Amino acid sequence: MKTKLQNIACIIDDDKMFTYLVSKQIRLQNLCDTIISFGDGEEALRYLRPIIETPDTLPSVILLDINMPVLDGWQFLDEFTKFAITSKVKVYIVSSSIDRADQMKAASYKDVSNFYAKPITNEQLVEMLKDFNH
Amino acid sequence: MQTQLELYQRVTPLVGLGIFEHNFQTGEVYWNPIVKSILEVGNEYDSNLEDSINLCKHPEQIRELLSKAMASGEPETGTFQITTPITRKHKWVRIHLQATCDKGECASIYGALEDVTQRAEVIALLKEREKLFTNAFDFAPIGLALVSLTGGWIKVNLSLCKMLGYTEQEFLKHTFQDFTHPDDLNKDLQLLQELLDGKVESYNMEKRYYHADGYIIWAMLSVSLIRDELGQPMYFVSQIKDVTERKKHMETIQSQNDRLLNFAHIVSHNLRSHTGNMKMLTDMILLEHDEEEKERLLLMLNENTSNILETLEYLNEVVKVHDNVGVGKVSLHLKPAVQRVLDILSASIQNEEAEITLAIPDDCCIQFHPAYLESVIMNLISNALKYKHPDRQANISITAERFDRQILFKVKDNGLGIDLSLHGHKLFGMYKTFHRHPDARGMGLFLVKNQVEAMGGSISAESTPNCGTTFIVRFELYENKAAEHSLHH
Repeated sequence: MKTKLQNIACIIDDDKMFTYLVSKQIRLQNLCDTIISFGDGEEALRYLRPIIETPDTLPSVILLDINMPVLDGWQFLDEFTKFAITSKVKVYIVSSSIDRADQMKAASYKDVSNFYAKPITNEQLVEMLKDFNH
Repeated sequence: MQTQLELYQRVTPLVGLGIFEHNFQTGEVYWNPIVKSILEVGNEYDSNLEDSINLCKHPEQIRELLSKAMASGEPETGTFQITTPITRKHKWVRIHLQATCDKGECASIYGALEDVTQRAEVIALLKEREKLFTNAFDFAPIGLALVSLTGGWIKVNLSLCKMLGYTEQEFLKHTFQDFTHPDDLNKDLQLLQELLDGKVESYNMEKRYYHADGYIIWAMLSVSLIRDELGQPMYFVSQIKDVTERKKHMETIQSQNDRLLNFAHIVSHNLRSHTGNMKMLTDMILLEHDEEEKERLLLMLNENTSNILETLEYLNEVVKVHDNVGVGKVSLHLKPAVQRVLDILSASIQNEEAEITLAIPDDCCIQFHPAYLESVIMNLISNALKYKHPDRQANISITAERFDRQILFKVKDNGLGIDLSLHGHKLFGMYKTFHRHPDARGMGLFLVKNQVEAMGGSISAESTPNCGTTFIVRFELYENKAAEHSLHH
C-alpha cells in the first residue's frame, strides 16, 4: 500500500499552539508528507507501539518536548529506546528549557540527534527535516 | 685536715648559709657574715630579736613559727618575705630554727637563713601563668578539652559542657567517640592516627556531636598533640567551636538559592514558550495572504497573550508567598478551617457525589497564614475531587493527628492515583500535570508546596495508581528552636 517514500514527521508536545504552528510551517514549505502529533509521551507511545513491526508507517523524525504531563520527554525516550526498531528514527529534543542539565541529559541519549531550544527558527526546522528532502 | 670549725667556716659561704643565734638569757645576738650579706648590712650592724622580726612583711607569721618552735623544741621551717633594714630591698628568705630550753624557760633560738628570692619569684611567676592558663581554659568562649590518647576526656571547660549538655563529671566518664556522630568517627580517628604518627602537627575538621538531649551539634574541631621531653605522646588538646547556627544558615541559603534558580528556570521556560509562539505567529501573519487564516492566527495570538498574562499573575502569586516567609502566622484551629473549605466546595462535592469523612480533634491548633491555610486545604480537597476514579464513588478522608512535635494533616482519596516511581520527583513542580483533565493546569501543588514551606512545614504524598492518593502536610507545632533539631534517640 504505502510506499517507502512516505515521509512522516512526529511532534510530541503538550503546547497545542506550538504543534499547530510548527505543523503549518512544515506544510507550507512541503518539508514532509505527513505530520502526526501527540499531547504527551504516553499518547505517542500508545500510537507507536503497535506499528513498530511496520517500519514504513513509523515516523522518520520525532520532535520531542521535555516538560509534558503524564509521560514527559525523558520517560518517553526511556520507553521508546527499548523498542527494537530496524529503520532509523531521528529524535530531536525541542524544548523551552535552557537548563544546562537538560542539554547534558539529552546528549547522554545516543538516540537523540540534537537539542533545540524554543523558539526554533525556520532554518532549524529545515535542518531537522532535510534528511528526507534530497 | 682542717679542724671541724675551719671546715664549717669555709663551707657556709659556699652554699650561702646564714647562721644566727639569739640568747635570751644574755641578750647576745650572733649573725654570721652570710646573714649580714643577705640582709645587706655592714659588719658592725647590731640588732635585737624584735627588730629582726619586724623585717618581715608579715611579722605575725614569723612570731607564729617562733612560738611553735619554743613550744615544741623541734626544728621548724618557714619562708618569709622581708625588707632589708638599710637598703630596703624585698627578698624571700627561708628560715630553719630551733629553740633551746633551760628550766622550762626558752634560753635561746638558733638556726639558718638562706636567700630564696630567685626561686620564689620563679614559683610566683609559674603560679600566675597557671592561673592565667586555667582562667583562659575554663572561661574560653569556645569548647576546650584535654583528651587522653585513647579518647577519654581528661579535662573539659565550661563552654564545652554547655555546648554538649553534660556536666564535667559526666564528660570524664566518657570518650569523645561516645559523643561523635558515627558518620564522622572514622575520619576523626584517621586524622588522630596521623597526628600520633607525626605526619601532621595538628588537624581541623568539621564534625557532628550529639548533645545530651539527642540532637546534633555541628562543630569545627582543631586538635593538637602534646608530647613529653622524649617526644612520647601524652595527650590531645581539642578546640571545639559550635557552628550549628552557621551550618543552619548555610542550609537555608542553599535552599533559597535552589528555589531562586528553580524559579528563574520556571520564568525563563514560560516566557520562552509563549514568546516563541508569538514570534512564529507574527511571522506567519505577515506572510499570510488568506484573510480567514490571518484572522485565525490573530485569535491565536490573542489567546497566547492572555496565557502570558495568566502566567505572570501566577508567578507574582508565588513571589508574594516567598516575600511573606514567616510573617502573618497566627494560631488557627484546623477543624473549622477545613469545614469552611468544605462549605465552599459543597456544590462540587454534591455534584461528584463524593463522601467526605472528617476526623480532626477540636483542639488541633497550628501556626499558619489564614489565606495560605485555606489555599492548601482547598487545593488538596479539590484535587481529590478532580481526580476521582470514574468507576467508583469518591471517598475522601480528612484527618489530623499529633506526631512528636508536628501535626500530620492528611487528605486521602480513592481516586486515580499517581505513579510516584514515574512522577514522584516532579509532583510538586510547576506546570506538572499527570492526568489529561481539562482543568489541570499544574499550578496547585506547586503553590501549595511553596505556601507550606514558607510557613515552616513540609508536604509529601503517597499514592498507588488506580487505588488513590494521600497527601500529608506536616505542620510545626512549636516555634522553639529545639523542635528544629532532628531527634537522635
